[in-house]
Amino acid sequence: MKISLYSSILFFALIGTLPLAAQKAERSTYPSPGALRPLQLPKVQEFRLGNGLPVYLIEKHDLPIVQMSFSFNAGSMFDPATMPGLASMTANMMNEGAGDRDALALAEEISFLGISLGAGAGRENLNVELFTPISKLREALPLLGDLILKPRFDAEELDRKRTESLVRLAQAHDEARIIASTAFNQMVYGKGHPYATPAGGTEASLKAMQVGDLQSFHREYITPANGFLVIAGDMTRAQAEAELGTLFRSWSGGMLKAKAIPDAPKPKGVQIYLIDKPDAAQSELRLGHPGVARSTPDYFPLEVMNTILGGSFTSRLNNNLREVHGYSYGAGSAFAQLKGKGLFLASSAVQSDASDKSLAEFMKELNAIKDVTAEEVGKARNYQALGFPGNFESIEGIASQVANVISYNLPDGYLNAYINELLKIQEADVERVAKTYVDPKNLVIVVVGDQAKIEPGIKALKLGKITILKKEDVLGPLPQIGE
Amino acid sequence: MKKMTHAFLWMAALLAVNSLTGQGNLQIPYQLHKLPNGLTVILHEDHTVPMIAVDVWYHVGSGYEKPGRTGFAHLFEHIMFEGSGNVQEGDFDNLLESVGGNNNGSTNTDRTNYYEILPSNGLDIALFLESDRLGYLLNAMSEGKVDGQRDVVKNERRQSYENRPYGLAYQTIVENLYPKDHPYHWPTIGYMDDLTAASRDDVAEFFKKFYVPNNAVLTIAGDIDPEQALERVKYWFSEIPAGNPVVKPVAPNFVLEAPKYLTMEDNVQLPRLYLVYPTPAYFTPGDAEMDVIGNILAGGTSSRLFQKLVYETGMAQNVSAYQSSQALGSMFMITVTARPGHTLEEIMNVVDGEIARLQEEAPAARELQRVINQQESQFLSESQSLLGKAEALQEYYYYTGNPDWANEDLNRFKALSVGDISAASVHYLKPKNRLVLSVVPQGQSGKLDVRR
Repeated sequence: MKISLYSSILFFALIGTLPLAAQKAERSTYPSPGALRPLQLPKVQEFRLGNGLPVYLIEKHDLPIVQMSFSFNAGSMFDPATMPGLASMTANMMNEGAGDRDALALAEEISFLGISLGAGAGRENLNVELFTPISKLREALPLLGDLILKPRFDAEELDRKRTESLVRLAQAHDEARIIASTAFNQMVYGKGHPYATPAGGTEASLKAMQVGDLQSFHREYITPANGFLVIAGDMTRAQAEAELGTLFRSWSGGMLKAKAIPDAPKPKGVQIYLIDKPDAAQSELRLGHPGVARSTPDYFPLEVMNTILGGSFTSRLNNNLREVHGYSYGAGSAFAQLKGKGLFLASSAVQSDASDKSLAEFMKELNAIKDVTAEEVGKARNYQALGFPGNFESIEGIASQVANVISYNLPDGYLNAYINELLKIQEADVERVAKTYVDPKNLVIVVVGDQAKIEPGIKALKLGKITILKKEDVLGPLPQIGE
Repeated sequence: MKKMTHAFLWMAALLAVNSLTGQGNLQIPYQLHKLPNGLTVILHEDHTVPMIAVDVWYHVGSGYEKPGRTGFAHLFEHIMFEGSGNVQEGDFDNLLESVGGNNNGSTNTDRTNYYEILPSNGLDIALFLESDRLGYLLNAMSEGKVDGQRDVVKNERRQSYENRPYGLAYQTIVENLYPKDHPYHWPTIGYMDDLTAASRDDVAEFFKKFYVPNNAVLTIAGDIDPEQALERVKYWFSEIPAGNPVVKPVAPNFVLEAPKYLTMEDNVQLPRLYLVYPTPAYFTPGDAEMDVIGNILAGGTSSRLFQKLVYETGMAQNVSAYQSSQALGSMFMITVTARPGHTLEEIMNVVDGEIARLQEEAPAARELQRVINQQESQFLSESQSLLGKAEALQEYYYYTGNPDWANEDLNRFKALSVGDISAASVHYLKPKNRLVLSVVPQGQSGKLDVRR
């Protein structure tokens, strides 16, 4: 450590001898960036445990910490049709007691060690993640092993979690954001589609769920054949093989799980769904349609196109809705990419009395994105490409980047090629994907807001047919919560 | 905050506590320099990725505002992104995005921060932008810009407070906990009427008073050569003249002579109880004790209140308890959301029982050690982030005068005994010295709330 405090007396003596003009910085042109410093991507070592579990290890020894991220094909898209919410509940219950420890003892131990360890389910995957200082690894590993291999699924714990989930369903009725996003998913995919089923469960499915359901889901899906592990941090291959080989010796079998994702049909024309939220200060807007799969060969031009449309602060949507019109605190768009066709979604929360004007601006931007300028393309591809190294700051970030490559089966050398692939994108590429993947003529629009205030204005836009829904149509009736 | 969703405004102090805590022998090596115009410069070298975090703190927050002119510090933060003397409107973001950079800012009661995270070859661009808005903001200020950001901030208020379940609770709490002449009496986001009343002249006056090099600290963390970086800082910032010294606000001493009971109705399904106690300022004696008490009461599933209220009785959906540390005095806040069929009165009785237990009987050594272990782990995790380190250096420097105070911070906790924890709970968690806010579903006042 070095501290230097410049004495102001010394400085004033100096400044007196120099012409003042020489002290002024040159501000008449913007400074240019210097030479780009290369990103040294860490090497990924691949091996398998004795039970077949694929392991991807990225060694990083500058800090005494390690991240272990397990990923199983066991997200809510694998919920049985008769029991939505099962994957999510299974994951939650893996945290509620394992091996010799009941729920409180397990939570206490994790909390005492100061580590982070837990399971959670998303739409595609069920993940188990551990972050620990190396000084706590010896205590952390048996907890990790128990959580994966020996969750207790105690009946009383399931009752507790069931009530918690039912209450959360009730609370969703308060949240315009949740109502809007849930409705949008249902309208784009149809209610039974694996990407739109209620991941948190329904009143009926939660009330029907039994310990046996969780046990069989766990038995079938949490297997070495149905997942992989990414390790990033202060650990060598020899250490990883030795520690994990022992820990997971008794774990074996299973099958790789996959599910065919039905194609979501394109909406016909513009379909508007309006859901009343009396007295809402803002309206939640969602516009979009089915998008693309993560495997699309158009990933890079789509990144650049979406950055221009709504993927950055200077994007057209944010600039229009926020900076030019002041209707909103922010607006954006995204292509959510999954193994099957994900969503294209543009969204914002806008002040109630500007709901119609905001929708008109959204439509304008969705129509206009087929024409872009060279300047916009240059800025957008640089923004995505040159900022990419920031994803590799932390071991959690590194593990997540590598897990994506594995999950979506992206080609060898993908991360190393990422920056250059983006920098190749030109205007013509962007305009082509805009025309192919953004269709303002066939669109689902969801608006959640104060119906009495906003319906007349939206009607007057004549964008398409308006269907009025109640929040109960989307979320179901308020659940009955017993003791 | 300029872009992100805004729980941050009032959670800032809490997050800060989380991000700053430390490990065994914790260090963030740094250099500290002071330019003749009063600008403080803190540099930290880390070449893990070819990126840098450039982070500027101005020592002004909503606590420096006057009643009738609330929300200024935060509105002003927005205007700082709208161009300056040599930066066209919109180009602040355009320039940064075109070199792969992100940026944002945030305002709390005590300070306003601005940061850029970008590839290290863009150092000059970040310094140009930061120096230009410090030196030449008013050259480019217009009524139109103030109007534009006023509308954005009003929508931020709608989105993050008014349209959010329980979103106005915080405002009600500070209005009623702090006396009228206290700098924390109003919410950082400000009131709609005050935002409407803000004129270009008000904004200009605010700038001249607070946005001066002698009230700013610039931190750069990441892929830099400190000597070269310092040269570039001098090149860009030296021409900006020092301003008048900034007078820090003073908080009047206050105690709640009797508990205050308040009820608010909101568009919510479930009633929620807030118990709020005035507590010692950030890094002053008692502050660490309150952090520990928050963790013992509601840090995770195994914590005392979670066990009683959620796990054993199922009366509550969730519970939190934390010390929100601030320069002029902190708040300790316990928040419990009731499940259907339970009143807030029932819940308060359980909370009071657990507080009484902590007051009468020292906690287990393991409950105290848990906090230390978590802080060590957290410090290692945060040490991976360039912005995290820049913010830690800033925060420690502002509140303690020493940028690398991580070890001392951790030592505050290591020095505590279990008896200290009980003593602090006796001293600060007095039933008469608190505010009790019930937020209940529409029409449920007098039924589910706590009344006295």
